[in-house]
Amino acid sequence: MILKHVTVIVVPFIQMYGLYVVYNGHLSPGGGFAGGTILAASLILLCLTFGVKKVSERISYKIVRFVQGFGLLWYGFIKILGLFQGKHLIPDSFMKFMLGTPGNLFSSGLIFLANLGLGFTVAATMFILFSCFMGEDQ
Amino acid sequence: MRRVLSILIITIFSLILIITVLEMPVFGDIKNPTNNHVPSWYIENAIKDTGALNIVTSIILDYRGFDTLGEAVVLFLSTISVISILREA
Repeated sequence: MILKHVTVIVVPFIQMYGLYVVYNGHLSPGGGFAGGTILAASLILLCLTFGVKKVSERISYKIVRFVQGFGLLWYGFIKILGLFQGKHLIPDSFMKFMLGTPGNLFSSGLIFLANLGLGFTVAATMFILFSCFMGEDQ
Repeated sequence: MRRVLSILIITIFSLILIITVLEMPVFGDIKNPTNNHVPSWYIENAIKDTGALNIVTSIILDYRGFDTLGEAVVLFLSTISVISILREA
């Protein structure tokens, strides 16, 4: 009873913090891996409190798998974008005009977008692994 | 016989590892092979090249982006193998 109420209160803040870490990966410590793990931790907390079955009614398993695959494809596509220019691939000079002023949220070109894909991939991976090992009968 | 053989093998391998650790360079030494021009290049040029204030992020996502792509693929493959073993549907 107490656990369920506290979980309902705490989970949005955990997700907000995870998204913050993912979005500010190029400004502050963190990034796709750390933020994705925090996002997945909130989902795992939901699973431990309410059970995998009830969570997977809200968050469909197919959607999670789609998010994982799409995040990986998104990251790979961004890394390949530099190839079309025929110049240096690393660091990617394709989006040089998007660099902006260092310190702003929307700066640093493709790193921002790559962080997004990476974060969602890591979050979906953690959630799928946990729900597979936990089983559906819980 | 088996026990003696396993103890022998473990002793030999741990001796090799200990010798390797003794040969390793001292941590933080100025003459270490990692103290070459690469870290100073990152520190001087990372913000100009990538526009990210976090140099660690600019290294793992830009200078060595393909390495990170490999890590993400490893995560994906681990998920696929777990799904194929543990899930029926």
